[in-house]
Amino acid sequence: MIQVKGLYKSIAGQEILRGVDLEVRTGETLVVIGRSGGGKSVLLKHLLGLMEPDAGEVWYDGTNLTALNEREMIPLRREMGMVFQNGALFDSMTVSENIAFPLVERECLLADEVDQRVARALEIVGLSGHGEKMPSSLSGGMKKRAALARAAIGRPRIMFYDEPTAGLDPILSDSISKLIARLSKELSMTAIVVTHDMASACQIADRIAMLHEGKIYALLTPAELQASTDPVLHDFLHGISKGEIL
Amino acid sequence: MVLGMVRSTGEVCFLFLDIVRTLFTRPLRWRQFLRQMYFVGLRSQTIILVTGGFSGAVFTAQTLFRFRELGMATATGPVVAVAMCRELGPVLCALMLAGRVGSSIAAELSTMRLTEQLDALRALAVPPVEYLLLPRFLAVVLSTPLLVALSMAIGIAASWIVAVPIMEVDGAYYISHMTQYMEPKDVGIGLIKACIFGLIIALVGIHKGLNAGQGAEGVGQATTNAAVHASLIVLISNFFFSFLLNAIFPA
Ligand SMILES: Nc1ncnc2c1ncn2[C@@H]1O[C@H](COP(=O)(O)OP(=O)(O)O)[C@@H](O)[C@H]1O
Ligand SMILES: [Mg+2]
Repeated sequence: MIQVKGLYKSIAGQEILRGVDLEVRTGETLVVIGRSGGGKSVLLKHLLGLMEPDAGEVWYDGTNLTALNEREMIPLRREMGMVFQNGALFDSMTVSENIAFPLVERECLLADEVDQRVARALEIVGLSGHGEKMPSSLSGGMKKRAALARAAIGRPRIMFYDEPTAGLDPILSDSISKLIARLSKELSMTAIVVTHDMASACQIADRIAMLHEGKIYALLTPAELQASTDPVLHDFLHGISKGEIL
Repeated sequence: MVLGMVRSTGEVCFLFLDIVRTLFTRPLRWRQFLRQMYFVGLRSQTIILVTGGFSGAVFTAQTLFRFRELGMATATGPVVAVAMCRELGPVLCALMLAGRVGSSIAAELSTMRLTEQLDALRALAVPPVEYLLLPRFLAVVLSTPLLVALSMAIGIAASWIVAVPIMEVDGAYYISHMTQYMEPKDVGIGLIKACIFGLIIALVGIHKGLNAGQGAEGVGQATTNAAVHASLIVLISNFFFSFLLNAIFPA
């Protein structure tokens, strides 16, 4: 179980998280929705310990991540996989080397076995034949899928996805949603997914959390969200702008 | 500005401690290290050869023009050799390396940070200190003395070429005076300086890279600053080290 307690964070004088409280149950898929620039990526980075909060704590079962230093976080991070919003592939390595990276770094496998698992991972994310390319020659969607393969290849217990379907065509986006659902079911991963794609959200989510004005505004099931009459949720769900932007 | 300098110095010290601790507590990434050695050590040879060779040559020519009038042409040998070993070799080499290696480290690290590759590395449970910083640091600190030694040798060789075949100084006297007045200590001082300059170039490059601002402008600034600041620190500290080392190894 992941517990987030009263997380506060300001960057460059701007308050981004203003007391986020959240509990993620082991094995569930939690979708985080919220406006662009609302701090969803920042929240994910706090969950991995990549950013330090101004106040508040993040607990994994009995461990307080916030109190650990970089080196002490290593064992915890080995159980996590993160798909960054822009992929964050290592641009000095080929796609295959990127995907093999966690295996090469963390596990003592034979080269053959690594190659097999990388080939299988490429096939699953639909990138067979692109393994020898450099990340800079991939499209945005392909980068994201390669990043997904890299994050999941070590079979972590917890997966974090930052907008995994943004910028993909509807068909690919559906297949990525199915892949996320499958990873969660078959390998019983806990998944935290940030997305704007409401179709994908309702398809994969056990629960949906809405991050609004630096707090968790609502935490409910997809069915409850559909039925909700709350104005903030309703507007977000149906994409209604109140004219407050532009 | 003073406050900023104090803070940067503090940060660099922590960085240094972190790197040294990693060196002794974690296995070295040989692949990364050798790649960096290739880039820093081998690929810098050309510019070092050119720098050392031509500075030795021009220094010899200028010295000879004057010394010949005084009838002490063969004294040029030791003067050039001592200057190459103690000052010109290490300093010019360090300035070139600051421009080539320090700035490329800063550019690489700041781009990686900007594109979240550093975060990705941390998220994959690989500390950047171990994977990126230590191999670069070691490569620079080890290659600088080697490259400086190379530039000393080439500078002295170039000096001989200018003096003996071109300006017709007596070769036998030139060599014997050079070996008579140059001591191993001169080379030693140059190499000690080289190690310190290597340390400065590596740490400034890494520090600027990790603390770059946002966007392309941030990367550009980090890159220039890495080269400029390292060069300035090298020039200033060289002055003090010359006195210090002279006190330790008196003439
Ligand atoms: N490294 C950073 N430096 C400065 N501001 C940042 C940084 N990262 C995020 N922010 C700011 O934090 C806010 C939230 O960003 P983010 O978490 O990326 O939003 P999103 O919900 O779209 O993922 C934005 O206003 C952004 O400007
Ligand atoms: Mg985001």
